[in-house]
Amino acid sequence: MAEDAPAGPAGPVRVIDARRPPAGLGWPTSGILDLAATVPIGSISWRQRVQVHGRVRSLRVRPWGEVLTLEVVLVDETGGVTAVFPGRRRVPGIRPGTLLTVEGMVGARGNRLTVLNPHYDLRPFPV
Amino acid sequence: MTLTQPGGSVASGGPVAEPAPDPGAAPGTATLDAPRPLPPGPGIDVPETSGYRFKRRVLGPALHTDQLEHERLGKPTALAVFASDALSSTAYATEEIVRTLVPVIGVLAFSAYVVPITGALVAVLVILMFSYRQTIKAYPSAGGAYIVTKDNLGLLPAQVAGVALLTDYILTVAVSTSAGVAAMYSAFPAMYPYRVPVAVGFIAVIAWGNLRGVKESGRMFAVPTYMFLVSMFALIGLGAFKMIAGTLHKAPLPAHHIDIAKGPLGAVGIFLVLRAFASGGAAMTGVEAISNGVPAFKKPEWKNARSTLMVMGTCLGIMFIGISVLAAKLHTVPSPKVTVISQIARATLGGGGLGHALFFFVQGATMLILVLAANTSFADFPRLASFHADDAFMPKQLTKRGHRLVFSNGIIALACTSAVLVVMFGADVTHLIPLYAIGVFTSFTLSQAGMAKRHLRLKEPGWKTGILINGGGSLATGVVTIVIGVTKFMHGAWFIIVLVPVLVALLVRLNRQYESESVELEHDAKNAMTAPVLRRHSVLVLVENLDQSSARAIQYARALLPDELRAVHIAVDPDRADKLAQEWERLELMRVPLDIVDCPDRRIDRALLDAVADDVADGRTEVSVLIPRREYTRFWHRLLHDHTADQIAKTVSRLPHCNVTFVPYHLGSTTVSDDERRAYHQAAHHG
Repeated sequence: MAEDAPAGPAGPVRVIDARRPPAGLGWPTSGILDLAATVPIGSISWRQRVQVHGRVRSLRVRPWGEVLTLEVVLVDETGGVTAVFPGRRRVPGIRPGTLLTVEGMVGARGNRLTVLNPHYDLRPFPV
Repeated sequence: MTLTQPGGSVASGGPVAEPAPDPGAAPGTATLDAPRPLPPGPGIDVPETSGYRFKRRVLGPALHTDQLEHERLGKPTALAVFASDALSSTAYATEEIVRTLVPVIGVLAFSAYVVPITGALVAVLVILMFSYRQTIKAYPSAGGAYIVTKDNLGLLPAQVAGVALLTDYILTVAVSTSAGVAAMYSAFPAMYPYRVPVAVGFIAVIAWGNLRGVKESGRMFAVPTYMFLVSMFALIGLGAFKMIAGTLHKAPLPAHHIDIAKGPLGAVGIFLVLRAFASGGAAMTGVEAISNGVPAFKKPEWKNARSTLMVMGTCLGIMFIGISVLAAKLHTVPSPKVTVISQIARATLGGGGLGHALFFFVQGATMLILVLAANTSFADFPRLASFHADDAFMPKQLTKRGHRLVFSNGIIALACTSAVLVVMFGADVTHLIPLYAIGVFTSFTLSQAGMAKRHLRLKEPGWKTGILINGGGSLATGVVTIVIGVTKFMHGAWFIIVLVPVLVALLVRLNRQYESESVELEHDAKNAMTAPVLRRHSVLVLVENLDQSSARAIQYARALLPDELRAVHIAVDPDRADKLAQEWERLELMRVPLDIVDCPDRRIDRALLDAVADDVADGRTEVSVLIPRREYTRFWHRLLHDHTADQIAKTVSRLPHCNVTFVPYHLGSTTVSDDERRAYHQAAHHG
């Protein structure tokens, strides 16, 4: 959870600190996520807690060992990362093309960056 | 499996080494799974395409490659094939000389100029004959201006010689068919309005004959050539007899005839004579044909070719002089609708039933030989073009031998370009003639010069005579080229003088392209062969529906034993994608994960490109994209579907280490009952 986030290295990655709301803005959130804390996907690295926003480019269900797992490839203009929901075959609302914000710890599987069981938020398609 | 008989013997018989039968097994079972001979054929019926069936019907069965040796020409057939061009030009060369002279100097042309100009041209002919004897002997395997020039003067001059000759061959076809049609409407004036379609029809027939093979076209077209030879010699003989007997009368002159008897000619007159000479130079075209076609002769090629050349040259010289003499005697003035030859024939053969019959025979033979002169071009053009293409100066397709072992593409190219010319010029010989002859004389000059240089270089026995003949020949033809270029410049020769360099530049550009392609392909090929391979292989199968063709592709993908295997569905329609995903789950196909890929702009190829790029991103994965493709049995079935698969393959394979494989599914391989189809219809529309 956000409270446990360690102080990360300085740089483009903004480390989320849920205890301190951005000055003057209050909580521009939808649910529990601080939308202002979003970073470009291209800038994330392994073992960081990040929040990214992008479009669902593709999704698939495949077994991770014995467990069927939903993998969602999330992309923005800078890169892509896979959000993983172990044990689930679908997440209502997440479809190809959905705009999605996820927040979680960046891990890796098979040389790919993944965010396991992220907090997520569905964004409406901008009209 | 059912052929084995109880005794264990193989039904087909033969000395087959059988494994020892297992004593415990029932009779027959021991050999049930024994190795068996290979089946006689593929075991499936692959129907010939309708295009191929049509081709077989039109061109005859395909010739075996080994038959190339038998597709050679004996001397009589070769004379018919290669001489028809040269011989036929006698039918219009005199006419062109007369046509140039008469409107300016009137009757004087007949009394003073026609015969000497013809004499000069025959002198050039004799020089050429002896020069080409040298060429044929020096280059017995693949003769011709192109090879000679390439060997002695270099590639670029060879292109000039080749292109000049090729344009001339195209013009020969256009001129000769137009002249043939002219002979036709001289006899039947009612044909005049249909001359263009008839000329194009002739080109098509000759192209067809040549596509059927060298030998067959030679046989097909030999009769008219000999008919023409006989009729011309008979005509000239009869004319000479009547001339001596004094019973040959001048043709009545047309009313608009200008009768100016001028004094000695000035500078304009000399130019005029030169122009007439240049026009008559059309008679020389076709002399080179034999030297270009030496490989088509039976063995020993060069000896046969040489004797054929001599026979042809002699016939040509006699006929040319004979016709010019008769024309001078008869004062024949060509009009747009009556040719000189036909006037000579009418005057020589006289009236009466027999005269008329003979007249039509001569006219018919002339028409046929004129049309068949094109045949010589059809024999030489494809071969010459294939030489160019072999050196990568022309499209490679021209080197391919077709169905009947001829260079089919060259034949078709020649037929098309010459047909275009005929249509452009309205099958009018007079407008085509000025374009003509300059190319052939250019190649004469270059090939003779090449031979002279060869003599200088090799100094074989008798090289001094050779130099004299070839050097003299080169000089003479060079002068004629310049004369033709200058005198006919304004009448259309400028077009060829501009066209040839442009074409040569084009060919050189083409060559550069071919060369850079080859260099790129060969660059570091050896190292590339032994470079380490990428260790990971992932296979993506493009799936549109759950159907037979996708199943085929997935089965194939599993047989590849890849490190990663995924099915990919491009979600053009998200609802359908959902349905497919549910179906996938329901049928427990999760072993092959299904990727649903977003495709917001409905461009399947781009969406797939993104998905595949993820797989190759790590730099150590080789990706195979399998695309199930439906194959159709009938061509109109194909029209019912678009060509998305090809477009996808083209885009995706641009990625390095991404390879596209089509997995075919042949529609029509299982029969669908009417009940099944009706059930499908019910479910789709009324369910």
